[in-house]
Amino acid sequence: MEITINYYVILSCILFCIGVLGFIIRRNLLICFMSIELMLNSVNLLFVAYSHFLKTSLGLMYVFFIMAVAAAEVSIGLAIIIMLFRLKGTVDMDKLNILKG
Amino acid sequence: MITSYITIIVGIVAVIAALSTVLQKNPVYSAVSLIVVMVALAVNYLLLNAEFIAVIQLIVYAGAIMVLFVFVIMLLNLGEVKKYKIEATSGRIAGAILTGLFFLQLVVAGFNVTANVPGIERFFIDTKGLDNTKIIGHALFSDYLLPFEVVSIVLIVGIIGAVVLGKKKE
Repeated sequence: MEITINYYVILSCILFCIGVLGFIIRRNLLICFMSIELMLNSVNLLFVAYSHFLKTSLGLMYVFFIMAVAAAEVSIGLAIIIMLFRLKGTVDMDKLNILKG
Repeated sequence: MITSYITIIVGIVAVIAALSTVLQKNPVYSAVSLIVVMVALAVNYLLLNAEFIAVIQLIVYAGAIMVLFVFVIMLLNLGEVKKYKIEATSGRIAGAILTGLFFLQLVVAGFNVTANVPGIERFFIDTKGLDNTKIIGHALFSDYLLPFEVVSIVLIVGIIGAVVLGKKKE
């Protein structure tokens, strides 16, 4: 039994769609944020898989940069969530409507 | 042969843990499930001969980022778990259906990608006698020097932004 690239394409698609689903059906800001991390991870998996099957290390570079950007994004995002919680006392997305006109 | 089985088992674990991440009521359980996903993906990276990326995944994602998440969940003290129950509203059902369609489209698009992209040989790196970490190191400080420096600026901005946003107002 040989694992082909199709296995990784399917796995990556499933993980990405679970992330999208989580972002759509959840109203908790923290869990939506985790869903974004899940999507980033699934793309990383596809990069690494193609990099292995095409025998080039180009994909690994992109994974490296995606991880650095994700780390910065998480630190900023969690700071914003903490600030919002201080302001409104909730992390429910439906209750955060202060920008509504 | 045995690696094929490990790959499939790890993939199934990753999918189950991902589902658990988005469906758990308690954010702490979600965070723990996400850690399981990340460890499973790190095992996958190891099986794909990407040792450096696997270790970075464990240190940065499973270590730093998830610790940050758990810290914030504890800090916010989200007491009433019941509040975060998922109700089947029409918007959510429509969203789930659209996500399913999106999944089908992604799979079709992914299968139509051929591995024989014309001109891709240009990007192949001669990997003879080099391990993965060495290749990444070489590329990082020659062809990718500018992106590397830009990433350092992004990280600095992240640090400063987190401090400024998290500061208490006087």
